Amino acid sequence: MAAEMKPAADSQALVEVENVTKYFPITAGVFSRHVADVKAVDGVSFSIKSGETLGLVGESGSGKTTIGRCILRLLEPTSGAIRFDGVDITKISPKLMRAKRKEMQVIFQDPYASLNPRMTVGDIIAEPLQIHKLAKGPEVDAKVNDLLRTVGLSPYHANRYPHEFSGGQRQRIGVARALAVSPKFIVADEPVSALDVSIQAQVVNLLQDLQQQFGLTYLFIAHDLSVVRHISDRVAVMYVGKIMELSDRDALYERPLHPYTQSLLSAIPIPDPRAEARRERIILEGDIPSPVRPPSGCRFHTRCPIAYERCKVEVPELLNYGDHFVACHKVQELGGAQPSIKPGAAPIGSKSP
Amino acid sequence: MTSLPAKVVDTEDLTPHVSMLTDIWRRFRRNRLALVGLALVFVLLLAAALAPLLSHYDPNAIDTSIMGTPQTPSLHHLFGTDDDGRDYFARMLFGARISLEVGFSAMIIAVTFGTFYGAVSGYFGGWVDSVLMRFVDMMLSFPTFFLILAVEALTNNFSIIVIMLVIGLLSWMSVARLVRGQILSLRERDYISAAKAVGAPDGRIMWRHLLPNALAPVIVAATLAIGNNILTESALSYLGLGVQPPTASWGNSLQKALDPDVLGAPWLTFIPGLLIVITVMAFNLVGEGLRDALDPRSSGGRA
Repeated sequence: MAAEMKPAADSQALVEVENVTKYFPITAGVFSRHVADVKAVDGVSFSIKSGETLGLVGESGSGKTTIGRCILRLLEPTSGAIRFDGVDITKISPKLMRAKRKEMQVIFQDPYASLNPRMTVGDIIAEPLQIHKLAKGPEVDAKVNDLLRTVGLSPYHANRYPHEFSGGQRQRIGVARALAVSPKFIVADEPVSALDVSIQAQVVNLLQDLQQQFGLTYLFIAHDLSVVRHISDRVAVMYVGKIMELSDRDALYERPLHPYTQSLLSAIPIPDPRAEARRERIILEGDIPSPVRPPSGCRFHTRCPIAYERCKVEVPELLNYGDHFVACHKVQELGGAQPSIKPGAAPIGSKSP
Repeated sequence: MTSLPAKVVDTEDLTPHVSMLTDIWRRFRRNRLALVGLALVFVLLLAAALAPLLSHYDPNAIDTSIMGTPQTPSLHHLFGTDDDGRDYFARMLFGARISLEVGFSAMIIAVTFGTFYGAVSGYFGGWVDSVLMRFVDMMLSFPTFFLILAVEALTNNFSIIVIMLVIGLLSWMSVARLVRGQILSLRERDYISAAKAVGAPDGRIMWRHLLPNALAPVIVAATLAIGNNILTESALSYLGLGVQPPTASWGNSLQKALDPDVLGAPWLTFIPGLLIVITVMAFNLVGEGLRDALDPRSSGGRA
């Protein structure tokens, strides 16, 4: 039976996210009257062990990027705690935070927007070194050259401007900038989503190599389930601001428990025509609900093929079934067994025949 | 997933290295009118800089022998003389100095102040932005020219410095709005987030990341502002609230040329009028050309 254990209570965790919410207020009128909130992240908890990669998947608007930015404190969470190396970084002074930034870095999705077009690649990579005074004078150039080589570029690229590079090359520059401060932890926010498939593999492999070489810990945010499977040790699935399922990669892909995860995985094409022909796809109806007015109870109930009355009223907790966390009433009733979902079954409240 | 060798040293050939300035010049050159404007601006700057060398007449020297009877343009007096017997070519050259001095100085004042103001407003946002921008709205709700007139009339001081300051300090609002808009859109870019994630202080984000990227439209606005300032100065001088005689300026020459006594000397009106038109047009053409050259997106329509 489900143990009342939060997935965040872990002593060897590098990053612990505990009950974090991030609401963006919507205001109207001359006096900026507060009319509603976009509940981008609503009570999310997880932890990332030192040296592992946690994959975070979800549709656009599920809040996965927001949680990444909260961990980096590029956004201030509305409530909750984020512990990095045991220190709650939501409560420390800006000065201490600045020092902490040496230990956590970020790689962005769009390599065309993440590099300052008016700075040379050398200056872009040197900036973190200068800010944290990690190198002086000629040392800076030497370190920049080292970093360029580490990510598979050449030192002669340092004098060029970002617009002279291809998408994949730019993403490598972004990786070099992130590595400049020798961080422990990197949030990779959809680092390959904007790249060609052939280039994706190169960048993913580069990230894996660097992880081994420097003992990095990753939060790998993506919507491509195949890439996440390739790189992650554990995977969390988000839906409208909440985590639906979180478990070991193999467990999640081989035996997904949450109906949402099952439907996501059923959408991955299989590179074998015969298997592909037999693949049963679970097609969800409707769109992802607005995070301004998320559905009552379980946020997935409006699209869930096996939802029942309880799902409409009661928010399911993220419960632990042997290191496999799932937030689903049906799974709880089945004691952690995989509920079967019949393809095409109409969700409750659905008007279509 | 395929397992490619991860350590590919990227030797993929890059496009030929072209510096930003070369690139801008290449696009600017394509616009013929802008080139004409640039040439005119150069001629004007040279004429103003070399004024004492280009004419051996003192612009304020009165030739009593021809006083009262303006001389028509001739080889002796290129632009003729006015009814005080002063060489009009020399007066126009020194008038160009005044116009350009006022045009550039007032622009520098307006752009410096406007950029700073707009950058602070856009970067800090929130109530700071609201307060600062409401003040801009208030300033803009006055008709600028009448405001300048009123200030000039009140200070009753018509030295060039005061004219520059008044024009500069009453024309920064559009620059402030422009810069604020730029900063507002730029500060959401990922490279700003990256700079924040690395711990860059506000000043560094402003100077190294935001302002250099916000500069292009400011340069355009600054060029157009020079033309505008020259026009304002001429109008003020024309109304007698700008550069005071005997110091020569295009505006006060125009005013003097309307004297009923010199109605028979139309060149006294045409020459300063034409100079004002040509100068303002030249700066506007350069400004338009820069707008296209600095913004690669807008160059698509040009053949």
